[in-house]
This record gives sequence, C-alpha cells and structure tokens, in this order.
Amino acid sequence: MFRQFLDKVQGVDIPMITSLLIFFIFFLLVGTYLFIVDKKHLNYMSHLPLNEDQNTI
Amino acid sequence: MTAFLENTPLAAPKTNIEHFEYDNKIVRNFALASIIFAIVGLLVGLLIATQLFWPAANVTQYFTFGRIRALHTNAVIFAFVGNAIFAGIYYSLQRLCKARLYSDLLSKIHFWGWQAIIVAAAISLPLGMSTSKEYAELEWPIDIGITVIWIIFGINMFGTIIKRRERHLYVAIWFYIATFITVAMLHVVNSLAIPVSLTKSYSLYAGVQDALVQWWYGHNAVAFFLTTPFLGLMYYYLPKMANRPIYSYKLSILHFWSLIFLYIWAGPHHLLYTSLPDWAQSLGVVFSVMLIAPSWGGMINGLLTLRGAWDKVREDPRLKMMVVGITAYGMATFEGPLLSFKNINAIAHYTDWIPAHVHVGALGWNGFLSFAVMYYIIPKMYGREMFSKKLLNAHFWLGTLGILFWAVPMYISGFTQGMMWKEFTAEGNLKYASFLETTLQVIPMYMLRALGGLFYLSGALLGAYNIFKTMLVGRLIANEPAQAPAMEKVFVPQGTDTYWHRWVERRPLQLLFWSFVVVIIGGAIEIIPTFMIKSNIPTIAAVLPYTPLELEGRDLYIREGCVSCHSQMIRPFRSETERYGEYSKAGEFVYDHPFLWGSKRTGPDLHREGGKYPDSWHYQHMRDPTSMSPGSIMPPYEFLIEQKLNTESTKDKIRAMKTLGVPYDDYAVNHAESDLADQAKGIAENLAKENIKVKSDREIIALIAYLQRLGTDIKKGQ
Repeated sequence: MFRQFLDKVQGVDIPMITSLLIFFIFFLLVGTYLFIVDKKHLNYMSHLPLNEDQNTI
Repeated sequence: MTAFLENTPLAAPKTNIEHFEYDNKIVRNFALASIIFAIVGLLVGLLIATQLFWPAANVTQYFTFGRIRALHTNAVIFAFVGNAIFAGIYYSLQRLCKARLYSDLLSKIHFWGWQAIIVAAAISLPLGMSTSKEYAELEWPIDIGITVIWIIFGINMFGTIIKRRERHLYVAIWFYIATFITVAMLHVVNSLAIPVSLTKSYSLYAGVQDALVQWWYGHNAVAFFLTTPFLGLMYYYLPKMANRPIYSYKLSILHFWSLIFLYIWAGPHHLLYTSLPDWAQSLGVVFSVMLIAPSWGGMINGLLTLRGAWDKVREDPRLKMMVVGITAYGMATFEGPLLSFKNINAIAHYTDWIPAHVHVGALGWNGFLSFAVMYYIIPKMYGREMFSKKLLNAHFWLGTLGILFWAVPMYISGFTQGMMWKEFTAEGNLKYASFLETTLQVIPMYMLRALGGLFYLSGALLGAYNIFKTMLVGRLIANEPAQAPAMEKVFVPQGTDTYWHRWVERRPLQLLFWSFVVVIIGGAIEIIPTFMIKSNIPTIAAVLPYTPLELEGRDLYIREGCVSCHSQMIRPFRSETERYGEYSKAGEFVYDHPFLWGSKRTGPDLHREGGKYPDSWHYQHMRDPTSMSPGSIMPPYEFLIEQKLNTESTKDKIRAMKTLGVPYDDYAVNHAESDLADQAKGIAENLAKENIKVKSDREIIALIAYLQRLGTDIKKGQ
C-alpha cells in the first residue's frame, strides 16, 4: 500500500540511489584497504584478545 | 601465545609499565542483574504462552496477555539481554583497552539507572501505561531516563577508549561503538511524543508515517541492540574460550562495515520496496538479500574459528552454546531476507511464523550467547571454575530442546494459519470463514510452545543456581590488578603502525563524531522519504477525527494492549477483503497518533469492526468472550464494566491532538467533556433497550464507541 503515496513523492529515488552509491563506494574503499593492508598488522589485531592475558598480574 | 608475541617486533616495549586494576564488581553486578531478570522475563514469557491455550491464566487486569506481553519483551530484551550486553562489554572493553573503566561513578549511575528503568517498566506496563509501539512501549518519562543512562554508558565507554593503553581498537570495540551511536539515534527519533500527563503521551507521528518510523526503529533495534553488540561479544569471547584468534580478521572488518551500512540504510526497504518503481523494487530485494552476506560473514567467521578445535566444543558446554547460538543467528538471518520477499511475506505476515523467527534469534543467538559469556566471565572474576560442569551441560541441553520445542511448533502453526486464512472452497467462499476456527486449530502447537518455554526456563534456572553457587563458594576479585606499558603521548610508530591507523585510531573523539555523522547521513537518507510522505497521503474527506469518547476508547484499547493480538490493517488480498471488508487505505489513518496496525493476528483484524455487530454483542463479548465466540482464547474484560472512565484529561488529550495537527476546533476542545457524556448516554440507552443495564460513565462504553467507529468513515463517504 505504500506504493500509492510514495510514488507521488517527487525525487524519492534520489535518496535511494545516493544510499546505494555511498554504500558501494565505501564498500570498495574498505575492500581495497583490506586488499593492501599488511598481513602482520591483521595478525597482530586478531591476537589482541589473546595477548591481554599477560597483562593481568 | 606469549611466545608468538615475544618473537615478533609487535610485542609492546617493556618500558613505562603502569599498574592499574580492572573493575570486576560492576561487571559482576550487571551479570547478576542479567541472570535474575532472565528468570523473570522467561517466567512472564511462559505465563503469556500459557494464557494462549488456557485463558483462565489471565488473572486480574494487571496480568492480562495484552498488558504483560510488553512486559515479557521488555524484560528479556532490555533487562536480561541488556544487562548481559553491559556485563560483556564492560569486561572485554577494559581488557581490550588495557584500562580500568573511565569512571567508577558513571559505572554505578549506569548500573543503578538501568535497573531503575527496568523496575519502572515492570510497574508501569502491568498498569497499562503504554505507548503501544512495539519494543518502545515505555512512556515518555522512562524514555528520557533511558536516553540519559544510555549517554552515560556512552561517556563511560568512550572515556575508557580515550585512556586506553592499547593503541589499536580491536574489531569488537567497533561493534560496541556502532551499537551505542545507532541505538541512541533510533530511540530518540522513535520516542518523540507530546505528553498529556506523566503517564500518557501521543506519538508525534500519525498513521503511515508513525508506522514507517516505528519499523525503521524496530528493524534497526534488532540490528543494533540484538545483533551488533553480540557480534562484538562473539569476536572477543569466542577466541578466548577456544584459545585461538578469530578465523579471519579481514572478514570481520569487511562484514562490520557491510552490516552497519546495509542494516541502517537498507533495513526498512523490506517495508518500503513495494512502493517504488520497478527498478527500485528490485533494488530493495537485492539490498535485503545482500544482508545475508555480512550476516553470514559473521556466522562463518565464528564457526570457522573453531576449525580444528571441535574437540574443545565437545567438552566445553560454553562453546556448545556459542555454536548453537551462532548457528541460530545464521538461520534467523537467512530467514529474514526470505521473509522480505513479497510472496513469502503475504503468507507469513501476522502469523506465528514471525514469533518463531524472532525466537530462533532471541533464544538461540541472544540467550545462549548471554549465558555463555556469563559462564566465561564469572569463573574468571571469582578465580575458580564454575560450581558444576554437569549443570552447565544440563543447561545447554535443556536450552537447545527449549529452542526446538518453541520454534518447530510455531513454524507449523504459522504455515497452518497462513494457509487456512487464504483457503477458498470450490464455490469461491472462504473455507474457514470463522477466524476462531483457525485459532483453535493451532492450540496444540501453543501447548508445545509453552513446553519449549518451560524447558528453556528450567535451563536458565539451573544456570542461575550454578552461577549463585559459584559466587557463594568463590570470592569476587573486585579490583583485578593488571599492568601494561603506557601509551606514548607523542606518536611513535611501532610494529605495524601506518599513517592511516594513526590518523583514525589516535583520535577517538573525532572517531565518535565522524561515526555519528556517518550514521546520521545514513539515517537521514533513510528517513527523508518518510517525512516527505506526510503531505502526499491522499486525504479522504469522509475521514474525521475521533470524538472525545472514541478517543478515550482508543486509549483503553492501547492500555489493554489489544494491538498485541488484533491488527488494524486489511491487506489488498481477496482472502482478506472477503473476510474483513474493504482493504485499508493510507488516508484512513491520518489522525491515528499512534498507529495501531499491529504485527500479529492471534485474533481477527479489527479495522472494519465498526457496525459489524450491535453494541450489545461487544458488551457481552468483552464481559465474557466465550459467550459470543465459544472456545475463544481472549481474556474476559469484565473490569471495564465496573471501572469508571477517567475523563480528567479528556480536554488535554483533545488539545494535545490539536497541537499535533488533528483538526479539532476550540469548540471541540472546550466541549470535550459534555460531548463525551452525550455520546456515552446514547450508547448506554442503546444497551438498555437490549436489557443491559450499565452506567454511561463506565470504561466499556468508551471502548464500544471506539470499536463501532473503526473503519466506518470510508463507508460514510460512499
């Protein structure tokens, strides 16, 4: 039933396209970052919860 | 692990060692509150499940299904799960940041404030103080309390992040930050209302717009209160329990960003996608289907972390809970996009399929992860093993059986309802013209569901006993000593630091600000069409504001939570128009603050109820539903006949509605009480003609006035 009134909203597709574009561009950026990021860094990050044990006395 | 770190250049330099203490007491308090409220929330759940096959369990007006269903949902979501989230976050945040929580005082205010909110909810909901908006039923003073306490939680979290001794923010913390910011925004926007008194308010939005805002909130509340914090908890506690790092850190980052963006921007598309041009409809479906990817990214990352460690799963009941929980998450997030398909939604919506879908997530994902986290942190904080491993195993099996006995009967029931509502005879008539017939058909499933609830509750009781025993036998390490190198004031690149890491991670306040901006942009893009709609709803000249008596009746309908079982939204299907009458039009709801479309039909839709039966039918039906509908599972409402209608704030209510744009004139405001009395007298006289003696100032009169008005305006127009 939303069709009957949303269709009448002028330019309702603009926010939709914008959201898709922003998502898509951001997704590409994150993807690129992950592609070039240093493996050692990822290894360090993934061990963060585990290396904390050495902090407790 | 230590060997790994010592052999790499990543190990922190052993200079400038600072000594500090982790605050375990606040974590313990939240965990304790969580387990206590788990029992309460599940017990209320069992009670409402029982009421659906044994209406006599609706004892007194304060414990009728309509009122305490909201108590159940609020208790399990905000009290049980909410406290578990805070316990889990505060424990892991301190250790991941290598710092004590920012402020002990804020921690205390957070804890006691949150419990005060829960107590206020537990008192106000049975008293019928409700906004009727699902998962946001609490009235405005409590809403303000929630906002304040939530901000205090945020300050405490960001304060801890600022004074951390570990430069890098582990992915779990990103999930916590997303949770904080988004829930704050959703809660504030959806709760905007105009107060009439301390215990009553009207939503700022009406009808269609209110529905859109509510489900924008509802969908994203599931995403950011029940999903993101738990993914954060999974990313911390699963590696700890299995003693191995997460399967893929890359995947965790990728699915974090995809999840945040898709949920906040694409979430309500499954409410909207029928409203757009064809290409946009397809886009809506694509977005919803895309959501499977980040959700399953999380599930797969969780399950694959355990590769090569399944021997541990066999022995450790906490890991078993994690595995079942994560699998339940995968199932629920696969089902969600499926339900957003138009043809599946047509059958599933309003049926028991929806509670089944919800409870796979709630009992499996949220419930089991909460318990698993508590089973991990409590022994750690008490410096001993859990009191009984056998009880842990028993809890796991009872809980798993509980989930199965809950969900499977409800899926069967949902399919049965969906099919029966739509079945026509060869002659073209509805095969099950009486709605009650379709309800009675699924009563055995309701009984099995309650059995599932009983299993799950029994498991939780064993869990509570086990936890209390562990606490009694052990001794809390309230302030756990720890040490870590101080973080340099001046940035010194170490190990894997790069310019971008420094730029992002050294500036937590900017991080907070920009994350907020990102969410606001996302939220704005999402919500703008909703606000543009208001002026585009086709108005129907015959639709007029409610009379004062009808408005009071509507407030009684809200107080009693009728919306829990009765929808007011007839969809444009032949099976629905045959059963209920003309399908609902957007223009019919323009004065409905709040909207009352509902999301579940345990009883029939009521949108065209007006004029269907005489006043006397409604009177008798409310007094004893089985007198008019033999076998009905609706609770009796004879107290409405005894209780006097409170008209003290009628004038204020009309005035508030006028402020919200409902076209009442000054005459209507000033004569609200006399108009109300006149209309009530008419209904009482009408009833007297059928030998029903009732005073015109009773609540039942107002409710009858409202029910008789429902959906009739459009008929007048014709």
